[in-house]
Amino acid sequence: MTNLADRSPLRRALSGGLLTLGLSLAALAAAAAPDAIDRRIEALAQELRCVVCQNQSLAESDSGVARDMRRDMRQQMQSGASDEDVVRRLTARYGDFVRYRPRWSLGNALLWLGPTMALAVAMLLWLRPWWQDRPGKHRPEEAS
Amino acid sequence: MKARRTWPWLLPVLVLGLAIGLALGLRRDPHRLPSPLLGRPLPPLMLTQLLSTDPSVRTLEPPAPGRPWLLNVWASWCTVCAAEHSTLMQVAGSWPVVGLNYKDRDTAAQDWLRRRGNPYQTVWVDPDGRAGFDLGVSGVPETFLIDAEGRVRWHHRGALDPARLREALAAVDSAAAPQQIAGLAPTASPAPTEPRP
Repeated sequence: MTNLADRSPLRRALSGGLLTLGLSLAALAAAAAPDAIDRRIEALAQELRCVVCQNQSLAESDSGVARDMRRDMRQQMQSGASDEDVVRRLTARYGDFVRYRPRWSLGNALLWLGPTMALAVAMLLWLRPWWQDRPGKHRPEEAS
Repeated sequence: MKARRTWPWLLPVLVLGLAIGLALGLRRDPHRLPSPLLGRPLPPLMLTQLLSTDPSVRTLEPPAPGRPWLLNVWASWCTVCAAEHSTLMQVAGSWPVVGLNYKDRDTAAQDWLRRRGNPYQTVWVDPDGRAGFDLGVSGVPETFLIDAEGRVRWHHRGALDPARLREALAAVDSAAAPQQIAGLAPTASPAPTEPRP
């Protein structure tokens, strides 16, 4: 086999360029292939709420509206939309409520930080005896 | 042993605060979803009309420029739509009502209107629910109130509740005479039905 190093720089550049192009096209094709889209839809739909049957995810629900949403997701992905584009289309029509994970925002900060803050307060209360009664600290009523 | 008793009240206060917060939150109905369309114009909807001889696809336009109007999403298979029908007929006397026939069959829809009466200035047809999807429709019936500037001001899911409709109309239509709004008679307001698969 011809060693690429023996070829002229132009030929090396062309071979490299063609290889990159080929791989890119293959990657694009793979992302648009039916089974890849099915997997993306399944993954996303499990993170989204069915607005009709509200205790079911979009992946589980068989309601007409859920099917419409999944159909829209499929069409969008087939035209090359990203996962975030697809979800944003749904929230633009049905509101942020469709997301199971609330997005980070000032209003949702309490929701996300609340449990951690509660834990921190609990830890402080629990550890209070230790950091208040350090040895050497003046204790006016110590038994003599 | 003297310890500064400043902390003991903290835990009960936190628990009480949490309890109040949860109690308030649980009172909210998760089925009353805030509509992201509020304050915005309707998205463009390209549809055909039910009762027109013109078969072409057009964009759904406001029925009367500069006037608030109602967009009512309905279907002939929707039993709850029959319940709100009388309210719609009354409202239609003072405000333009446009119908969006959702996931229905033309003949069934036409029969339904013929039998019960037609409150709609125009009925647009959405056979596969694409327009409904763009509007954030999750069941039938649903009603939108659009103001004179073309912005959605009210998105009601379920049969029209005359009291809520009165409030919405009063808030949106400053030019409306009070007796127009007061004239809407009370009827029952059941929850919306799901489309038949």
